[in-house]
Amino acid sequence: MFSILIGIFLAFFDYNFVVLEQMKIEDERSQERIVLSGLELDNQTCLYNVTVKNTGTIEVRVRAIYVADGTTTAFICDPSAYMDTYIPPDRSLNISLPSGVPFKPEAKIIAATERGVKTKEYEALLVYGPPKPVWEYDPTKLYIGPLMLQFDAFWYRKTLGDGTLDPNEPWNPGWSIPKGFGYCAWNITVMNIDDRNITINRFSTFNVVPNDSPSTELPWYLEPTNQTDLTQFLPVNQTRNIIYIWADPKEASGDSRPQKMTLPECTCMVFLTFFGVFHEHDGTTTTYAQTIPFEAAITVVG
Amino acid sequence: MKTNSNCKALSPIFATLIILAIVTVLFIPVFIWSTGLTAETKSFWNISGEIATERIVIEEVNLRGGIQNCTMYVRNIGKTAITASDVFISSPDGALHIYGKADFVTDPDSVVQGDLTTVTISDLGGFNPVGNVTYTVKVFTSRGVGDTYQVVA
Repeated sequence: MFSILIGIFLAFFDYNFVVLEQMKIEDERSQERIVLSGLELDNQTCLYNVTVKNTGTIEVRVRAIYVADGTTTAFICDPSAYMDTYIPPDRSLNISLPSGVPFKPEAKIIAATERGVKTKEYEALLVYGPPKPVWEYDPTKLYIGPLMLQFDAFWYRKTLGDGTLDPNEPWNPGWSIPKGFGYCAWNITVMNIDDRNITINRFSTFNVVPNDSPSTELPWYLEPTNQTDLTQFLPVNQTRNIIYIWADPKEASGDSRPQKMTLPECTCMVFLTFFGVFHEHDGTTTTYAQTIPFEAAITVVG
Repeated sequence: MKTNSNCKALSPIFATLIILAIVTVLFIPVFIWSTGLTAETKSFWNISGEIATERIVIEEVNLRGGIQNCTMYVRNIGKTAITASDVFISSPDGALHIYGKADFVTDPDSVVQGDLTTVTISDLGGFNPVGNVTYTVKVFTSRGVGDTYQVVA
């Protein structure tokens, strides 16, 4: 009776052991993941080798390569028969393919592991890469409104105490300005892309807003090109430079003071505000206002 | 009146032998029954273990519209060697096409863990796959373990 009981228990424990073994296999399988990351051609006509990347957390062994096109799904090879196809986690392997497998851009190439995990990808995508998305926006020409800012044409320059540009100083790229720079002018480039001419007035500003303390913003007001009515004319489809110098809207009396860069070391956002009029086609004028936020900030450096 | 206190029907030795003989004779059918039970139990656990460790994956299926043959690539991912014995192909309209061992060829016939067997049905009989229709293919082993694959013909 004792031996009978022993036999029954042994059978039960043997069953338990193999079930645990199978659970281990399933656990390992759940950790497997591979992707196809490249495909090389031989003379642009035949497949030469395929790159398989192990993106899982366990070593895999590639055991089959298939090609599926519109008419058939064919087993190409078992690469483990002629090379070591074990791939450690986070590593890639170039697997040579048998000669004579034609390249068909519309076909899918499929790789499978020993544990039955698969990956597939179009051959054309692997050879030529994914199609480039059609980018409808030129990031250098972002605008909302009739004035388009050219972000790469943006400078600053030292001014004298009366607001005139310092003849001994050049225009410097505007993205970074030294701390305590003193009186300075800003120069931006815009293009009128509306079908109407625009005249902007002296209230148009170049606002520098520190990210850390937005309440300490500094405005630079327009230096008008027309000193009679203190405006600047922006014709259709023409690129113009706009210069900002003043701490307040410029006065006809000439009694204006230039703005001074007094910000500490910081990063700032820049907002351009334009005020003026549209010159309509019928000769009348309508009011115009526009705000352009800079996509990138300027930095006040030490 | 004189009593005979030494009067015995059987000697103790003989009585013991008789008891042993009776017990032995009675135990024989119990022994036979329990041995059979043990064998059945062991067999049950062994078969259960084989089924529990039998696992297949259909890696790819070549089934195309208008073509009267079908090839399935089946990998053994369990610890038990497998033999494909039945293939079911079901259509979206519910029609089920059953193919037994005699209807297809497996190469190789039996595969161990990690290996691939190719199951080829060279003639689908009255079943004519329609292009761009999704079919469900099921492959079963001789112990009833199977896997399912959906393919667009």
